[in-house]
Amino acid sequence: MLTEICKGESLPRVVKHITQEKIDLYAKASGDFNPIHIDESFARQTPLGGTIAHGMLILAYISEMMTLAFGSNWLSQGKLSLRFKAPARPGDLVTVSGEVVSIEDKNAVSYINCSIECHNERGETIVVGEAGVRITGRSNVSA
Amino acid sequence: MEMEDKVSGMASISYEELLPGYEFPPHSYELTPSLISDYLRAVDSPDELQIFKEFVPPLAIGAYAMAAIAGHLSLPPGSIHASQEFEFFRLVPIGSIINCQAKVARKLVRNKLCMLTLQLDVLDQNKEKVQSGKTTVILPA
Repeated sequence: MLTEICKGESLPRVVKHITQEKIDLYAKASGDFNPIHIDESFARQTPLGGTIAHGMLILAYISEMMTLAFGSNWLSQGKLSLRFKAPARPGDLVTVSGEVVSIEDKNAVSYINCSIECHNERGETIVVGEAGVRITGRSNVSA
Repeated sequence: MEMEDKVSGMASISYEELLPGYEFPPHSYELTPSLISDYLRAVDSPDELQIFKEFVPPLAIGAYAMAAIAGHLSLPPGSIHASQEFEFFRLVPIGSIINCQAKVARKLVRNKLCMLTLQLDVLDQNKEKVQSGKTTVILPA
């Protein structure tokens, strides 16, 4: 977890290598067998030109970063709003990053707002948006 | 997968038949240790996140809620996720039984673009809301 939370603080980066094997594993675990994710011959004939990772798999990586930063506060008092800008494909090296952009204190509760971005090794943005966490007992938060 | 077994065989509704406000049948499922273990392996969760030995990753709840809806919904192959919102309200212990409710928040057909937004609410066995979300999907023309 972040030892001190202040405006401008970077969240712990998460880097993942996307493979078709991981996409297939996620399809089995989540029950999402949309052929755009798992059927290369189908996906090749679509405008996307090949299989892509599940959006929810990429969001899981973002959630991992938020859990590393905020622990159980994220699980119980987190908020996420994201847009998918480009697909993550097998072979991509995906980096999830974030930064604390504002902290609002109200009645001994801190509302931490973070910008979130996920991009591939070519610098293309895959996901962009924001996440928020509500923290009570805010000894490690400084606005 | 356990989830798949629970939703298979149910009548599904097509995109054309959906109207804003349509409510999908509620769906209950158990977040078993094996289900969560499979999920953590699939998302390559690091061992240092010990909290997931006790509590369910919130995105796993979202993923299974969406899988439950998918069992009732027939979308054309190639439909893709455009945006996602989630809000989490409480820790969910592994082994919990949760109930997923979903409805059509918005349906947009413009030129060759078809979009569908679903509102999700997930409740625990005490009927306390644990998570809500909004999923927007783009359908192939």
